[in-house]
Amino acid sequence: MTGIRDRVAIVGMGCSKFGERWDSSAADLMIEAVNEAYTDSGLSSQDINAAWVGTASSFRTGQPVAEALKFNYIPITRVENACATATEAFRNAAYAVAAGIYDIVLAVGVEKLKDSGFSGLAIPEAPNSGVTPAAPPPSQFAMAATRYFHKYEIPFEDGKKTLADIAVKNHHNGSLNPRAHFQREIKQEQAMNAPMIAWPLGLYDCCGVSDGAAAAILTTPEIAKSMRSDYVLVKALGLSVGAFGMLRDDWDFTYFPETVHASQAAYNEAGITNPATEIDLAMVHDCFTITELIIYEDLGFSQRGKASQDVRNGKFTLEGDLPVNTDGGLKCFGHPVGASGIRMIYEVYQQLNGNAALRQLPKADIGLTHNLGGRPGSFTCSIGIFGSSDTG
Amino acid sequence: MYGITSYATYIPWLRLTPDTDGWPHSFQRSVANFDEDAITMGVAAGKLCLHKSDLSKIKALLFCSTSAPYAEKQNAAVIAAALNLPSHVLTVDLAGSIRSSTSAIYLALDMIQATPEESVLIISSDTRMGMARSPLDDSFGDGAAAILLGQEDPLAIIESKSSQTSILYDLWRDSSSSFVSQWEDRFVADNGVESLMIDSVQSILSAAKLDMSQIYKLAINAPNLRQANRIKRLLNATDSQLNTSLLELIGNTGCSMAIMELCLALDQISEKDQYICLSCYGDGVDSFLIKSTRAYNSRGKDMESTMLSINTGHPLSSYEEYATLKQLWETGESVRRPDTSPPSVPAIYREQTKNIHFQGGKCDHCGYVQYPAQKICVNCQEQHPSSVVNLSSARAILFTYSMDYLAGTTDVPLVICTINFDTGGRMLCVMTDRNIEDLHVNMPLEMSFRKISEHKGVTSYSWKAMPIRLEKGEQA
Repeated sequence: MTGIRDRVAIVGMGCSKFGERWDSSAADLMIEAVNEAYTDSGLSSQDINAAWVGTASSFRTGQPVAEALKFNYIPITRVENACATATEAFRNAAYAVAAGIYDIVLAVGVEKLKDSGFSGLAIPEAPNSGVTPAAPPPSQFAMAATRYFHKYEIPFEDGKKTLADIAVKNHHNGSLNPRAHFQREIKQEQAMNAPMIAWPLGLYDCCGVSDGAAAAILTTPEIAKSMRSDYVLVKALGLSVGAFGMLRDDWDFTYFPETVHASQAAYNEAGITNPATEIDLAMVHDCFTITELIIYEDLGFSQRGKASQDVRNGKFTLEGDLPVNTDGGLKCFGHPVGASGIRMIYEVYQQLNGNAALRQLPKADIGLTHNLGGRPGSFTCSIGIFGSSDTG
Repeated sequence: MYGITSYATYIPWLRLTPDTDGWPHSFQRSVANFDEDAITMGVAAGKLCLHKSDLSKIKALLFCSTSAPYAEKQNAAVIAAALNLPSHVLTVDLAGSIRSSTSAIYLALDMIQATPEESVLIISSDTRMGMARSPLDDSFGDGAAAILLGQEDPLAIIESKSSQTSILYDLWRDSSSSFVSQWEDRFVADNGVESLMIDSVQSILSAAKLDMSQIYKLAINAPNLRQANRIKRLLNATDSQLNTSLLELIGNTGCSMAIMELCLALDQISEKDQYICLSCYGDGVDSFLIKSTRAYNSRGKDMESTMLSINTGHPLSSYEEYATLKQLWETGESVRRPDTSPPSVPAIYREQTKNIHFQGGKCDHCGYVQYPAQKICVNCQEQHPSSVVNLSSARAILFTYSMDYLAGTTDVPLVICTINFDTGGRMLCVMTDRNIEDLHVNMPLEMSFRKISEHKGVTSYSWKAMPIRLEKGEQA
């Protein structure tokens, strides 16, 4: 196995404004993101050999992409992997370039959620026997918080404080990001006293449900070099799909094996042995604050049971040793399901190229994205590791 | 010699009590939760009744209810499946009258006479509705009772029986109405329950050459407290002979009431050869003379006490809460929710073992227990046959949980939990009949058959977790 490391480069990216985009259709959002990627790369639709689109529920095939972007009969594939859908589109596009099938490809993720008239996540279900508990995502992830507090004997108040600190950090980062859905800072007590959504998770523990799109143009490093000096290299793409958590009574909700497996595979592929020191920044799947807390440990950024301590010490803030969700994360940038994975790559791309404006980190050479679909016990986890062009 | 070999009652957890805001009465009534109906309560009573019985000996299940959810489609069949009765068991719905429960005893006795080695399970269950705030709404209660009739070591034998039919519009509900109606109760008392029941009881006693003083307990379905007291006086019965606590604490539970009174009387049997007179009114009257075969204590404390299940209730906070869960009014929601898709009948059919029989599997190769049963074992990851693990009577612990305030149920917050069975195996489910103040990781749980979803008349039933309500053998 040769792996993906340094075989694919990103030469252009775009990301729409996320939020309640009442005036924009899924097509409008894709055009907004892809136009930015064209401008960024200096390419046009005529240069794209093939495209992959990720959307969880906005449409079913590649046709809406061809229709919106007026592609001339190129291959377009729609992919879906729950909340890890966008990274899946990116991964398939990257592998096609690495395989030598195409020179220049597009990966685009999009979701139009706000037309459902429902403020939660409305994803249609296949016909079923109707006995699955009505357990929306907040209630499923809240079970991880309950058990995490129990296992590490964290008093409820202390646990809520740690989760609030994560929300406060992501709101701060979001306030520095004009494309984020939510751009207001919040205070710890505001998060702690917010109405319960699914106990123990309150309003500020839950990410935004948003409309949005994000796009990336990929090519080989050789072609990238001929186009620009500040391309970004794909260092690793790890994917792990699990389903055993609810079938095994010994899995305890305080770690997500899919994240552990996917990140380990990605670290191996990228040649990373100490993620906490070798990675400069990470965009992780903070669908809920408890998810971000557990991810710190699963990715090896914190020791098991010690993530709360690292949160308290500010390790993951913009000024910390390992800034996480510098763009506001799902919490504040928002979570258009099929777009989020590429939105994460977009922020890493901006940081690696020094274009993150008020959020710019002093050192950003290696960045990680972590995109999680499903629910505790049965996840799809997609990890990407990216390096600036001089890491090649 | 055949008679009653086992019995049990199920009384739903919720109550309208003097502590309930908007309930003006000093008496109480039981209330089926939003996820209960006559079928689910019947399963609960049946499960308790059968907990030590040999299911292969059961010849028939007679299900009696005037409020069964299905008018066309057999309710008894759903109950039989949830109780894991063999498919050759004859299942019958008896309906139309609250007397159907004792008429079922009549039929069962004849069936057992034909094949004495077999037993017949009778389950009665009702959740009748009166118009909001009407006297019937006040006096009705919800609940179920089950008795097993057979010849294997009966606790009590049925010595004689009598039945008569009468046509009287005292209570009725046509098929298009949700609510029971009644005629003026003075006329009804004089010409219905009182005259017929007194006549029937006196006749069965005199045929056996017994007088009232020789009867240990009277088990009757008096419609309300006032009439119970009148019947007591007219029969010259004492307070001890005719206990009215069921009417005071639970209400008139329709089809199941006479059987519940019988269970309550059987609970109090103190010695051999004590007589219980069971009399059940409803478009006529059935009466039975029943004699104990031993003292209560000698039959062991493996049955749950009826009085304890009567006493372990939880008051609803308000009449409004009651009206909401009984769907007496339509409530609006602040959140606009996506429409749920209707259940797929083939999927319900295919998943019977998992959802209704509630069986997991134990891998024949490595012994790992998993729910639902897997074709490829999650532990050894090989394809092996697995053996059945019955989970309906299993205990579990609460491994972790959350409380969802937005999930769109009448039971807010919805308690979503992951439970680990003591048999091995894990399940994601909803917890019902719970006090949120009592929830904690590792709390012990039992399983209860409930309605999970309803769409255009197709109800998806399955099992939910609930805190353990009473321990077997506990005394009230």
